[in-house]
Amino acid sequence: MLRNRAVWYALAVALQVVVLLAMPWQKYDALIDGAEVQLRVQPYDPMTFLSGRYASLQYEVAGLSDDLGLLNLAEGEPLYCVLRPEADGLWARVSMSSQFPTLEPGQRLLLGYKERGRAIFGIESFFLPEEDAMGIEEKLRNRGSDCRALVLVDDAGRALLSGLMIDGVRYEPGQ
Amino acid sequence: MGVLGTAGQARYARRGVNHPVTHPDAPPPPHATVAFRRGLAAHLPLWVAEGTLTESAAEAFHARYQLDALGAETRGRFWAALYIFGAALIGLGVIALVASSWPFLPAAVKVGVLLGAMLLVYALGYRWRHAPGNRPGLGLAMELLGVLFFGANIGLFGQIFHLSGSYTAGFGTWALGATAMAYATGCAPVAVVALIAAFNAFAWEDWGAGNVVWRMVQVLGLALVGVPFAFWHRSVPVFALTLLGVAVAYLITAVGNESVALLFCGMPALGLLFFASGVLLLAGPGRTGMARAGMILGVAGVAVLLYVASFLGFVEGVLSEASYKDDQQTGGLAAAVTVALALLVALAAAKPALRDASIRPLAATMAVLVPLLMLCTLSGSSLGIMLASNGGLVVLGGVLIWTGVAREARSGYWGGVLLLALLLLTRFMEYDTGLLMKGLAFIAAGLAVLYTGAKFEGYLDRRRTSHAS
Repeated sequence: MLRNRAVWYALAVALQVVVLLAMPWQKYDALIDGAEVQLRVQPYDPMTFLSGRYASLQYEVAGLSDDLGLLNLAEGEPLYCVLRPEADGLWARVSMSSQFPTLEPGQRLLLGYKERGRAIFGIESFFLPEEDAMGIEEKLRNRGSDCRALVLVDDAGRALLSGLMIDGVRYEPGQ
Repeated sequence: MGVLGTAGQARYARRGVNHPVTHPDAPPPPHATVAFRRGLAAHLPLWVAEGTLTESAAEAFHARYQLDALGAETRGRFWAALYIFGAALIGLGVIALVASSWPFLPAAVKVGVLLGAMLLVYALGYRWRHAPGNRPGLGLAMELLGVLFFGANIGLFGQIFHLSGSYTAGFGTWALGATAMAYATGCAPVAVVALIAAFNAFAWEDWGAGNVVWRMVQVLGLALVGVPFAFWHRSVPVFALTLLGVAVAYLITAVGNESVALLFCGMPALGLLFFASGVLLLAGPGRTGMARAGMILGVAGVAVLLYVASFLGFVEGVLSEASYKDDQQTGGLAAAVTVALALLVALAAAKPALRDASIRPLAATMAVLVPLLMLCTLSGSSLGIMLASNGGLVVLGGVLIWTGVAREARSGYWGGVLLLALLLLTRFMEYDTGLLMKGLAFIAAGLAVLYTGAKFEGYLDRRRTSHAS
């Protein structure tokens, strides 16, 4: 009886550990081998009690319009965004489709899914370090700031947000 | 060691009485509350001294109700409450502390610290609850703290790796881990955390998402988090909280999808299901508290629904604005499944309900009112729904008062009085009846409540005195 109890207890704890490790594991390849791309973003700064201050990011490349023919796609359907580097270090969208694309040399793939008329890549929240939060928020509120997300992307298009760059200053806490 | 074990054994042994009556490990009867056992412990020596009770009978009571364990149980409850309060405070502190982002630590170290803290707390919880020389209260608090750590870790892992996700996914993940831990430990506070997390996962999703079948699967999942746990561990709070969560989730689905079938057929069927489950539990052994919770929540759910449907304007608005397309498809299907389930349980509960004269009228009222409301809904008549609801409330109020008197239960009596008074006030406020009429009606209602209430309380006192003598 005691042994059974110990086994169930261990299984429940193991389940919780596996669930927690699975969260960053999905982005492991991007973390280890991912190439950095810089994407223009429009941030705003909410706060939650559980997670502290964070900037919610809207990516310029995430917009869906009628001409892409993707607005009728069901919610949650995968979207493939092809990116190419521009001269100023930013990456721009070449195409967006619901079919896996063929990439040309130098291009990168960003994998997302459709949600409320936009593409979501799972990198829409940037958690701010507490001591820098006020300064970053002030810069974010300035409409003229050049805000870029620093994103690591693996070959399959899975993305990991590694930092923010605001007017040329990089913020990459704890990575 | 004899039946009484310690002090009680010695006390009665001194009087020359020492014969075992029941097994020393047998728990006290489930209906014996701590207050009742405390009163019994105080009265037994008096009754023996008066000669009302023989010493051997007193010893039998002492053993059956485990009166020697009373002191330890009370202390244990106090310490458990203290430990749980402390654990909850620590959990909140850790969440706030770690939410400050820890910018000075690399991600791998943060992950190690968070996982290590959680595993340490669980290891301590297991050791203190089950190892020799155990401290179950402290162990239970550690298990609760571990589950709070797990929930905090979900948010914090997302923060460390800047992972964005929905609240539904976050709370759903927390509910999954907490449910597994609740079943592994049998710890009711952990089950409560699992229920709260599961309900949040449900509530944070778009209410009007349109996928009724998926929402019903989620409601079923919510029920599965708490009902089997409550049944196995005889936990009344977990059972009541689960039923409440299921009812609110069902209501959210009905309102979010503007489904008349779910609101006026599914919801009353759910009330009948709760009530019938309570009757079934009452007929079985050892789950009186759960039975009461099921019956009260079932009746209360139907009463609230009837009250809402007693407003003609509201019913007309719902019928005219509802999405009939959805009604005829998934909403109707989900309501039909609920009705079928309620019917099955009600049929199973019919025999015990008929056997118990004190709940028979209430059971019959529920069995008539619920289908009546469904029939009126199916006919599409807003006037029919309104009339059935008002009439149903009057009957239900009256039957509740009768049940309260028959079972000598304040909850039934005062529930019925409250229902009738609320109905009267509402109708007089809703319609233009003139101030004189309103004034007279309210004064008459107030006098009736005071007079009948005083009569009922007097009746209760007389009955209890006669039981005692």
